Amino acid sequence: MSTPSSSVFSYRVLKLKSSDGEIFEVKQTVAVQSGVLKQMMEDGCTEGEIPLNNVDSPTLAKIIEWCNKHHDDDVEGRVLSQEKEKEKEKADMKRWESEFIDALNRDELYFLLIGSNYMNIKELLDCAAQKVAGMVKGKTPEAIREMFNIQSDFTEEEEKAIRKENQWAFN
Amino acid sequence: MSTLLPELIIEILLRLPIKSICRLKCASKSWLALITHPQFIKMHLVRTRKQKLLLCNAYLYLVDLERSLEDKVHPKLDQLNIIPNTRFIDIVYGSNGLFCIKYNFNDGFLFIYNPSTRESKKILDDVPSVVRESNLYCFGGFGYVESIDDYKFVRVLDYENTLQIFSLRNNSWKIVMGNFPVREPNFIHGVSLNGAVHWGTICYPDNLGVITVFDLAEEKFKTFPLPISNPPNPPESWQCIVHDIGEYLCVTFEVYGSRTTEFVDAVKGIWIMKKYGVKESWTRIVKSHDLYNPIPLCLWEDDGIILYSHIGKPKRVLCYDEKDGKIRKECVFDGNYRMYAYIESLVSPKYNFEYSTTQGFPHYIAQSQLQSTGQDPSSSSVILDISGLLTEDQLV
Repeated sequence: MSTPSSSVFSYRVLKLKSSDGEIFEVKQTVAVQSGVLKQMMEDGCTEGEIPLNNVDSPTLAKIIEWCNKHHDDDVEGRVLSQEKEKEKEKADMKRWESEFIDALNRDELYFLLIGSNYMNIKELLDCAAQKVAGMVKGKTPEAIREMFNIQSDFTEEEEKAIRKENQWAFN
Repeated sequence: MSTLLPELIIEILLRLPIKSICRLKCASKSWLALITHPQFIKMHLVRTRKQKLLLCNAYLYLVDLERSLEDKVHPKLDQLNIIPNTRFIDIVYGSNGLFCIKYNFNDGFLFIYNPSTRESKKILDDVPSVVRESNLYCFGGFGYVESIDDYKFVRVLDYENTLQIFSLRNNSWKIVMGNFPVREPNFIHGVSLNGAVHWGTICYPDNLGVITVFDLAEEKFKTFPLPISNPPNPPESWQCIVHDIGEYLCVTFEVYGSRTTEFVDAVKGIWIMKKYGVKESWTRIVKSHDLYNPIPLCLWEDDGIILYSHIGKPKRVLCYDEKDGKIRKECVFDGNYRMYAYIESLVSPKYNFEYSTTQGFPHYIAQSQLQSTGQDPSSSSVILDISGLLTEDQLV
């Protein structure tokens, strides 16, 4: 018999459905890192499959991997007596994060950026945006156009003028 | 990578150095529109808060403070050429990374300049003859007024009892009659904070010190008390100098000629006003042994304060640790400079005020970004309006 109070137990796992139809089961305690899923849990509307139309299965797998790692290393509930130990955990996590991000190719990174923004996972979005910023940093406008698939809509004169105005930034 | 949402482009741009951002203005019209949008500029300003140094002798130079303190060698000076081969004569720092620069008292121009983006705006400036003849008696201030979203430059013309005020929003000058309160100013440009300009002043003949404040929105004077307005055995000639670090006003004291130990003990060090406008909040933070105070430039990470030790040789910029009173890092400068700490910003001197709403900008992004920064705590504090130095009808 199903009563409202039993729902606390029966929905401890969320069923996330990626844009290409794959189902991922995620513990509530892990899913809470997503602002969007957290809100749905608070509103009590996480029954059944939750469609994530902007996130495909490889990206969702990556996102869940990130959230699991950050959940597992959650220091809450565990006693870390030593400051040093905390510092070490922090450093280890940083290393894990950069390895995780560095292993992605450009497209994977791009989809992760969109996915983390869509699901509102602040730390992951921060990490991915920082990585892209690092890739953009030293690049010329031409390289950026190629990278972000932008067409220059300046006329020749306009582009000349805007470059002249910002000449110092090219030196 | 294919096209990204504007909100994600913003996330990326906000993590880039300012030089890269300026270069990306050339990517496309929509990127240019985004980067130069007042809303984006505001987001960048509240997010980055990066301190830089501007050095002046006859020319202007930029210094990367962070790198200089790390490297410990002589800092790299990056010379600025606003008007190539022109020596400047007068400069005043405002707010949000904008400076006001005067090259020549006779050429009829003033420049609003952002060293972070190298952008400048040339403004017609007809300097009154009293200033041209004797520039010693000209001082002013330049600052941002959030309530009216405007940058104002004010020049005090001592002998004419007149103020000249330039509004960047209106792009025009006006003259306000009304004397600088009956005090002896030190003829040093004022420090701008919370929409007001602050000068150190000593009242004669009673030899009392006070901070004279000019509210740039109301265009009225008021005063703030000094930590010690009536020091024991004051010398004949002494000065209080106003500085600002972070969101706080600071003062240091200087004496000319002979002084007593009693006086020196009472005023020495750097004083910080922890709650804006509140006398009881004055706290002595750097207790120097004598009056030769280093100049406080700005706050630094983890309770650090950047100080400029400008007396004697070599000239040094120090990172002073407020917690233990030790010097954390320092760098050495050859030569003698005036130094200004400023916030790196994209704020344009050619700021389009008409466009400063969220028009043409993804509104929800602006909201969420600005909400997270919170309000400046000092803005709500009490401002003392002690003397009512100027009444309404004294202003024409």
